[in-house]
Amino acid sequence: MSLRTLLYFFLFLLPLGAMGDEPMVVQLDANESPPYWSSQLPNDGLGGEIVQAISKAAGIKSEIKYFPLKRLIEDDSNNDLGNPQFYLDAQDFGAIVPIAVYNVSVFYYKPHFGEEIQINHIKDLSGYKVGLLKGTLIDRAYFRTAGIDVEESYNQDSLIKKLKHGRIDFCIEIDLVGHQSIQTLFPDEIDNFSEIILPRSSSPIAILLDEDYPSAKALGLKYKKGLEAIIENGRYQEILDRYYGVHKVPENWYRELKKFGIVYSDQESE
Amino acid sequence: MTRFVKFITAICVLTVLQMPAMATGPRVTPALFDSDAHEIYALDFPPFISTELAESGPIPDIVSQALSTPEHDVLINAQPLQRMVKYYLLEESGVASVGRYLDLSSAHSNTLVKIPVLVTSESYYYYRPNQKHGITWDGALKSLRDYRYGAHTGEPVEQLEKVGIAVTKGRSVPLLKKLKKGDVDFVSFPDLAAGWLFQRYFRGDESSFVRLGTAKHESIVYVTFNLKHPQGEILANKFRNNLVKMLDDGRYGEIMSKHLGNSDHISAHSKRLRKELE
Repeated sequence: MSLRTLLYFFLFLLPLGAMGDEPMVVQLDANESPPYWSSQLPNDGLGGEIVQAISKAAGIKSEIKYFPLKRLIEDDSNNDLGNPQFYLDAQDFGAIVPIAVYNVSVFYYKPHFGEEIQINHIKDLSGYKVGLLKGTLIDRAYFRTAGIDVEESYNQDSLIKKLKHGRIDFCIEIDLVGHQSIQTLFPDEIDNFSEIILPRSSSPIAILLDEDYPSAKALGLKYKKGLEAIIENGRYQEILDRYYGVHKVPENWYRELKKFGIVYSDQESE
Repeated sequence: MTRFVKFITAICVLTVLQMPAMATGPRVTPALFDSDAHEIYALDFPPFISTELAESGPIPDIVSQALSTPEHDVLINAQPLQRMVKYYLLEESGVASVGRYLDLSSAHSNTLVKIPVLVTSESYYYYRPNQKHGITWDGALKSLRDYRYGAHTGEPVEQLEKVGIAVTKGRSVPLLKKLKKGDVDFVSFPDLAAGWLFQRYFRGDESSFVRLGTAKHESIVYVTFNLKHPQGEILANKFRNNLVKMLDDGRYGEIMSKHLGNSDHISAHSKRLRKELE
């Protein structure tokens, strides 16, 4: 074996993260938000599984740690996972890489209505009691003016239970979260629950690297390449299918993911 | 405690109470529901434009009141990054955007109409614990050449760089954190915004942020209408006319006071805006 071959052999053995200034292990902080991020779920949930698949493709070792959301938002020097809008108020990031998309849906229990419901305007919810997760309502005054009675809950499952028991008329949930709650709580009644995806509701789920994190921009680029690689080789779709079901991934998924990729690209060049 | 301070404190308490439960969660805004509404993207500029405030703050409230009709609501969607606001305006042919320092290039100037909606008076601020002897300033930029300036993203900084001042760019709150940390030495904020931000993010430490000298400069928030949108020109004319009416009949000042409390700055803002619209 020549010296050059030996050198290549050892270089190959070195983890990619050990090169340059990049950390050996990239710590990414999330808060418990199943089925996207959870230490209780296999592979940390949908988001966790995508992060690990991207990391593997990119040659990065990533570790997800869980903290209360308040701490994540207040910590302005960490790397985050989730919807960038929750973190951008008080922290600048060197790279933001959208890796998934979620939509917001209005759920209702069909036997309480006896007909299909359409929601094209906020006023269509007027006079009804609408359940929401605590802290997610951005403009309370607007809903009050529209005559909507808002009831807040601290967890998603209780919203679905309230819906079934007629304590609320509608609940507003993330699409996948609503599906999973219904499947878990009322597996024999899945067809009795109806869902209206709100067309303007798609939001990104992203890897956010703090602007002072070593080689944040280079790492962001690697994560981005890793994402492209797993979309290309089908691993990404495989993960989505497992959570949504085959052919049930929202139609707008890849279009929105591409859009968010553009919107959040290259922070510093602004 | 003054009425203004009580008002700010109440806002801060409400903000903390509204902490979201999950970072991958729904953001339930009016914009999710109304497919007929004109959606206008605005660049976050607290306390004038912020999702933390009712109706997203006074500027979205003013824009919305000036443009809404019984047939069409106007929904203002506040966003944290310039790039996002520009993308929705230019790439998705949005009807309008709101913000300052949006840096909409001259390549689009023929298809965009800018109308001022807020003219603020700004001062420079520094963080006293990091400057043992304070910073004295005679009003000439070159006397600040040994200090590092924290500029808002998109803010024109040629004048500062020309005299040798090192510039770091960022968004409002991260800039203030950099100021406190000592990564930059001075920043510029509208006087009305500075008090709100110090209370909201640095409670108990507000007095450490000190105004630098007495000189002031202006910055302008524009509503930029997209003439490529079928309603762009109509809404631009309507907005200008209604904004002038709102200044004349005092509604502009009333809306500002409703969101920000009574302040001498508000009547000064109204006067400057009227002049800018002439």
